Amino acid sequence: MEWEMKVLRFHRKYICQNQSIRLHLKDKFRLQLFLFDPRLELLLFGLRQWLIGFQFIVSLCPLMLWIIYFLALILDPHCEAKLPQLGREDFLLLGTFLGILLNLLNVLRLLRIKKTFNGCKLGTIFPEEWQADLKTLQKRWMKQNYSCQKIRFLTIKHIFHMVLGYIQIQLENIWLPNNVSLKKLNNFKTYKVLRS
Amino acid sequence: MSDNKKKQIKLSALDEDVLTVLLGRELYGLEILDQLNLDRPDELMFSSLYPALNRLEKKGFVSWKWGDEHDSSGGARRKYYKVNGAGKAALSEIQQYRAALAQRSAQGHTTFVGI
Repeated sequence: MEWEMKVLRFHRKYICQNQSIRLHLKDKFRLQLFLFDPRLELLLFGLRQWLIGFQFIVSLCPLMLWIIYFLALILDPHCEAKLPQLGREDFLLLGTFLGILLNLLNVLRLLRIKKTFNGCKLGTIFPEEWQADLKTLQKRWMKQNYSCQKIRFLTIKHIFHMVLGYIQIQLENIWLPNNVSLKKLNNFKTYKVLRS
Repeated sequence: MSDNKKKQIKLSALDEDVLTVLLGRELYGLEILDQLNLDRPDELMFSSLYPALNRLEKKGFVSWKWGDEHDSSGGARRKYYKVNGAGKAALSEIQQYRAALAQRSAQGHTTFVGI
């Protein structure tokens, strides 16, 4: 992990030192230069892992509730009569507790996986059409002569909004009619990795 | 369509806007966003657009096809959305409802003024 980061930092430093070259870069190469930012790559990698974990948690929640229900039945066969007596607050507390527990597990898993970090690109996180939109936006900003810092800030802002959208889609897909496009959306392997 | 088969159409204001923008043409995500943001007081972001497109797709109101690879999109393909028959019918029904609502409101106003 450390030496990989060192290599990335070295490349970044080398490129930043050659400011004179940067002035004459073509758009495509400037885009590659922008994407070659170790901090952004690390952020994207963390984001991807968290989203995979979140998706897992969402898919697991209904199952967990059933398991708890049946465990309660096995431990105390007479508890079924008591179940209707439970208030809405009890279920809310149970749901909150489960959510916190699963998110903690997700973070622990993330910390463990982070050790094997070897770079990450947008194509591994979002669907292909989302990255196409983001790249088009980046090109547009470049044509408008935005500074590199501003482009980076705007990209992170849009990535943040995409994450919010992704989370909303995952939650809405629980009750929306069919799951065909959900499978398409979640199948990371089908998304073509960005050719950069 | 019989009452049993008739499904309740649920469209949010944003869904309706997206359907209106897509009426009669094929657009990809960013183009839809640009069209929606033209005269919008509060800027719409991807966090609202993509879930809306997903909802419409799941409900069967829009269909999509992959576009060609573009240099401007970094080699990634765009997804072009268009409204299908069900989407047009749903939009028409909602618009009729809104027109009737406006008409009733105007009539109510006239009555109130008359009193």
